[in-house]
Formats: sequence, C-alpha cells, structure tokens
Amino acid sequence: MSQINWREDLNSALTLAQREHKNILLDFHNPL
Amino acid sequence: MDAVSYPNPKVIEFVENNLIAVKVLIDSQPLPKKFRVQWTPTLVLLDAEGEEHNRTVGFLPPEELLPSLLLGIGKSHFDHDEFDKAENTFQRLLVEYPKSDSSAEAAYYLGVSRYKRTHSAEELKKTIQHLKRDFPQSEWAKRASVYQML
Repeated sequence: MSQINWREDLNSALTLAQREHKNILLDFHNPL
Repeated sequence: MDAVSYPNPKVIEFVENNLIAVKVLIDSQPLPKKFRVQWTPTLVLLDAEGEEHNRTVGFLPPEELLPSLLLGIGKSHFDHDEFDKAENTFQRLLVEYPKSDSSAEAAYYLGVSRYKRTHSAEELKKTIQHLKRDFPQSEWAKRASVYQML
C-alpha cells in the first residue's frame, strides 16, 4: 500500500462500508 | 494533511485496513452543507449508515491522527451498543498512544463502555481513578469527577 485509496462518492463508499463492516473517514479539504 | 499525515506509512496502513476514505472539496456541494463544514481540514468519522460519530477540525500529525481515528471508531461502536468492541478499541488507543490528545477521552469512554456492559458502578469509580492518575488536568477528569460520589 503506497497511498490511501481515496474515493470521491460517498454513496458508493457507504455501500462498500456496509459490505466490509467498516467506518468511513470523510475528509473535507481545500486544495489551495 | 496531504503533505505530512496522509503519506505516513502507518496512517496509510491503518486507513486502508480499517476505514473507507472519502475526500470532499470544501466548495463542492451538497456534502459540506449537509455536514455543516465551514473550515478545512475537517475530518468526520461516519458509520456505514452515514451517521456521524466523531469529528476534528484542523491539522493533525500522524501521532495524533491515528488515535483520533481510533477514538472515532470506538465511539461508533459505543453508539451502536457494541460495548465489547468499543472497549477493545479504546484500550488499543490507550496502549498504542498513551499520551495523545485523544487518550483522556478514550479513558473516559473505556470506563463508560465497561459500565454499560456490566452495570457495575465500580467501573465508573475506576474511571475517575484512572483519569485522576493519568490525565489529571484533562477536561475528561472533570467530567468524570462526579463518579467520586458514587
């Protein structure tokens, strides 16, 4: 694992989280 | 966070093994408004139903980010009445990061989780003893101080 696999869509992340019994880290950021 | 904490190997391993990571631009609606986020970085820990269980605002170095994430996972278990899993998570935080900024809160929730599981007031008395010994200046020692009267 060389980096975090960031996702951009919360809904698909929720589906994955339910399947894998995991929590979600939601990072609000500003690229500037 | 992108320059320091997220490239850290321990952070990468923890996040990939324990969480689904989602990045949201602060100026991309509707999520910032839905979660009432005004400043970055804001990290929100959700369960798989999308309910919030913990959040932090501002930069966290790896040695504070990791216990903060453990705290959020533990609080998610606690909020779902999964007290044994919550205890294990808070205990792991205290063993691996005994001096972090999240540790006093973890000690508080560890004791409360044990009380919720056992219904023994002794667990609350142990909690204030733990906090007075290891985190006497913390806000969590104050919050638990009422248990001295049990």
